Amino acid sequence: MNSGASDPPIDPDLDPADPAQPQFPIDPARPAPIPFRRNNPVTLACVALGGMTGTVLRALLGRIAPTPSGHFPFTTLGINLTGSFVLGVLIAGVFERSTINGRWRPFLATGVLGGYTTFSTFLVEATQLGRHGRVGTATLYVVVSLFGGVAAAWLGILLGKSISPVAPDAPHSTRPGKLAP
Amino acid sequence: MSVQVWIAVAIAGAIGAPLRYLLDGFVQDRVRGDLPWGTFVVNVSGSFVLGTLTGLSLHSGLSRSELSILGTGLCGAFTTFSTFSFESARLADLGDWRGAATNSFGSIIVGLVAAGLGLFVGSLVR
Repeated sequence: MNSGASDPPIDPDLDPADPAQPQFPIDPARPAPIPFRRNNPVTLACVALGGMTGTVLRALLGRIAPTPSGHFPFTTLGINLTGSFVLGVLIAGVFERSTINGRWRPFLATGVLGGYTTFSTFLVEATQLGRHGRVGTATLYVVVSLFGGVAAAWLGILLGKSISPVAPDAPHSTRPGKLAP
Repeated sequence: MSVQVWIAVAIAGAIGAPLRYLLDGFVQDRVRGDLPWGTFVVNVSGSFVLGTLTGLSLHSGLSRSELSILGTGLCGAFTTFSTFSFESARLADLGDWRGAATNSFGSIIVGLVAAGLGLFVGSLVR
């Protein structure tokens, strides 16, 4: 069993048991990942359904609160920050604490939250602001999104760890002393 | 937006998310280490595509509906900010500050270049 197996997985979109999971610390003796069957139709359907849900929600919010040209994109920012926070809570508080992963993780984490949040819209909005002379706004938008997003995810992870007891046999529970808040 | 466009946006979302999942895994299968290259590739490529679509909508005949479906729908579902934030936070949480910084700043810088490049490419089509 390689040393990375007990550390929490890094990529929330992939199954924790997926051998392609990036891990830290890096174990040089870790064997190359063996192909993991990801084209499981049920898993893909869960991701698709979730993606549809998150996307429609994001599109609705974009209709309700559109950002006029040249203005600060509060809607996209709000979507990305809330989505990052919820993902942190979900992964750390639910999926890494119990064994109910099943189909809920691809649906909620990879699907809904992945579809709800958007990296492309964020960057294109920032680029457009910059191209139209709103460089200060663009910079502020990028900085707040980046630091706010990571902080939101981190806070979500903290909250997730604190709201539910650690199941002794949970696949990726935190190691005491290293990750305890 | 008409009902048909909303349905198309929903379908695009149902396509974009699994595409991300598969590409993420495809990339991660082929890299080692702790950096989430899969998400990086997904987000940078998606930003390029959205930039191109936006450029096309500004300079060429791409309609608002088409931009909604392919941009908001497909690119929006394909790229992900939550996964990006979570991965950076987790890397920091695990003590890999260098990895967290590389992932976060790298994704944004390269992504901005990709988006700008896309806008430029999209503007070339008249």
